[in-house]
Amino acid sequence: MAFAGLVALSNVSFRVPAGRIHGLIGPNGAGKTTLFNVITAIIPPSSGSVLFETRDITGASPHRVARLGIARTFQNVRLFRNQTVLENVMVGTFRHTGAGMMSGLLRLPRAVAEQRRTETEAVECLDFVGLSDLIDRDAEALPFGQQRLLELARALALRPKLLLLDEPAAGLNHRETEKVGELIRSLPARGITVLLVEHNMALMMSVADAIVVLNYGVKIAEGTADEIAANGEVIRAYLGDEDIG
Amino acid sequence: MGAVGQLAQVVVAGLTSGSIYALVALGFTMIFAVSGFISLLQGEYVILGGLIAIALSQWLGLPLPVAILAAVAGASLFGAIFQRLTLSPKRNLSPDAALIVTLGGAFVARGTAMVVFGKDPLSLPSFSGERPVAFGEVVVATQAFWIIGTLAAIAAALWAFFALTYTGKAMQACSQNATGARLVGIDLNAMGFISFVASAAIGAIAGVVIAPLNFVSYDEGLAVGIKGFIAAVLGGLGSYPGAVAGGILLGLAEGLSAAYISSQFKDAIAFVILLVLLLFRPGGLWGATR
Amino acid sequence: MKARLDRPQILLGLLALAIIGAFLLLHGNYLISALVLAAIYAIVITGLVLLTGLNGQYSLGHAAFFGIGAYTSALLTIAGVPPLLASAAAIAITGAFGAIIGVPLLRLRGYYLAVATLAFQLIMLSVLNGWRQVTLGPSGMANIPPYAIGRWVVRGESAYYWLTWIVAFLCIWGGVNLWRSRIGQALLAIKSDEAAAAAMGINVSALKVQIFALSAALAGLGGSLYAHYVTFISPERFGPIASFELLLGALLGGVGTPFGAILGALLLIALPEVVAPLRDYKVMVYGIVFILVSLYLPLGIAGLIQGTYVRLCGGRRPGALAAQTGKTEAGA
Repeated sequence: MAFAGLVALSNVSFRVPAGRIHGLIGPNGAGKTTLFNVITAIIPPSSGSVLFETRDITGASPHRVARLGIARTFQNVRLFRNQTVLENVMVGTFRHTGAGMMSGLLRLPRAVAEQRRTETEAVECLDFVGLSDLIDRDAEALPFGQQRLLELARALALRPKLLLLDEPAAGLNHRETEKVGELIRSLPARGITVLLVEHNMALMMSVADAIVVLNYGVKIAEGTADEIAANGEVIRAYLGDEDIG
Repeated sequence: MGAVGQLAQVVVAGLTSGSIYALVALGFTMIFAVSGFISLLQGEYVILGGLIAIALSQWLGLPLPVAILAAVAGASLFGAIFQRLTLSPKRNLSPDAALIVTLGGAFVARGTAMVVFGKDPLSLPSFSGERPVAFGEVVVATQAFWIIGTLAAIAAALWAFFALTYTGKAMQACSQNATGARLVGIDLNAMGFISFVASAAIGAIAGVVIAPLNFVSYDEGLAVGIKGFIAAVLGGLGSYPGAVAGGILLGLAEGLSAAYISSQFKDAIAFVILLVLLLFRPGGLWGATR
Repeated sequence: MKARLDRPQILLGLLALAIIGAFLLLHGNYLISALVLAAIYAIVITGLVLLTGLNGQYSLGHAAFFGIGAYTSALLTIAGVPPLLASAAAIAITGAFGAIIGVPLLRLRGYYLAVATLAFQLIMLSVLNGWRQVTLGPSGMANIPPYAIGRWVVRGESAYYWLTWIVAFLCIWGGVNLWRSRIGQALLAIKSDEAAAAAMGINVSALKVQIFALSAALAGLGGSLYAHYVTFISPERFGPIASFELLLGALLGGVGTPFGAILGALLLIALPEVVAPLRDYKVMVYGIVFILVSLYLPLGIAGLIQGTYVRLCGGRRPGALAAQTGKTEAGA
């Protein structure tokens, strides 16, 4: 993946098996967010392809990627500022609901019934992350840690098959990070595969089944947490740069 | 007159109106490049410049050069006050909000023009007398030379400004990278102000110089502005050479289609060009798409 | 400041009462005709409120759609088509125009759409003025048949009052429904953050085109009713100043809620009366008010009312959706 001559990702290739939690680590600038952006089709790759459930989705548009069941959270939390906590999560259900503009305008019974179901599902997602007390708060009024949880709830409302988490614990305190770890660990049981980018090594080691390590846009290692921790090249990559660890 | 002669005539007319569009487009480009929004006041400066010059020279009897200077100063003053009152960067307006504010400003200008100058279209005498110059079969009004010459002069002045003066380079820096510019100590506030006032002055000059050929009427500002905008988009919004090229092209396109297709919907041609352009090449004829 | 609807059923009920009450009070008074116009404007402005408030887009040339609706309806009924069908055609045609312009433009930045709508407005004006065989040019079109529903011909101010206000009420009701619906919430999401909305599976361009087409169609509906009410239309009624006034009405009334359209329409009717002694200065004054509202009152007067209501009642309003499904808000 090259941006105007700057190679961001070079020959990065790996498979994420279904029902697992796969981690992605690497020093800053290693290309992790670029990789996420390529997968979710925010930018098209200059070469290579993205396969999802054996289907080539390279070059699809972001909303089509989401419709296929890939959800994500963002590094710098992108909530919908004009809406409440509940409304934010309900927007997450868009891909598996169907009421169109006319049914909305005319308040057709089918649309109303669907919205009731959507609301129930949204409340469930908020329950799961522990925010159900706050359903009518304005999303942007929430403290940062809760905003991260809200974004997670919203992504879950999509009923994703694959969930991309971009530094979900960044900026969280120890207790909040533990909570995020718990939530992530419970996802495969709900049928969700996770690809996780994190700088918090403790969290990463405790949740990931396998980890891919990037450095300067190149995959330098892949394996279990223990294997990675013992890998010389990985250690050099981190100690060679100033890292947050 | 032979076909070639007729074509030449049409081309001259196209170049003349194209020069005006180019001048208006330069104003749009400058504001967009430096401050990132589109100012719908651009066309109003043309009208204000023309009307003020007419009023001062025809009604008050001031000598033409004085009237022209006063007109440019007046329009620039309007722009300056407007910018300070409503568009200063402190307000942190989004581009859409800024556009809306300039729309309000355009109507304030239009309303003011109607009250001060009346509803009748007004005109100025040609700068060099009414006798046209003949090149063989082709007859060219002397004012056309003034117009095209003004475009050349302003284009050259702008080039010199950007290439040779510190302020000019600073302004270019702003349009290329606002954050970088700020880090280097360039005052974005001041740049925004200067570009706004400069575009007002350029618009007013265009208005003064076209007044002898067209009647100026208080309500033409929006239409003139839109055409200038189309010219700017044609050449790639944000590119100064593009603005000039786009203006000339638009003028020629309009003139040719009016002469050879239909003169009734002459204005519609420009707007159709805009819609087609935005459909297929919003980055301009030779800009990157998007 | 959040723009949400506060117990819309109550407001709708109040609106209905106000419509009935105004009629009973002013029955026979010349003000009724002003209110008929207000209803027609309210229909058009509802479209603008939905476009700007729900989706953050600006239409600077909406009177063009108003005009297309008016002329379509006029031409068809003069040719013998029943008015109901003519209205349907007006809605379909303006909606189609909206979609056609919208598709290319809504992929670009918002200001391109805004300027393009202005350009569209000017094209329309020149077509209405220039296409004399069809539109009869600047001198306008007279003798437009009155409205009729089936066999009932609508004559007299009172009848038009009820016709227009029932339609306006339905439009507001529709707008309220849309705001709280799946599509409405998706549009609000798009307004906040297009990329995040797309990441939720929302087809951003498609929805933007849909709402633009809807707002155009509403203007067409208003235009159709207008033509039959005033029975004489001319191109100058549908020019840039008219578009500006409609936008002013929307911004001043408040784009945060469809009810703002009612306020905006009433203000548009009332403003000329207020400005009457300064009639020549009308455009200037409108321009100044427009600037002030854009800078200082982004949610209009409706927003101001909502804000004071919230402060008086202390605490938060229920979210739009809690209001819909009747769930009470859970705790603080």
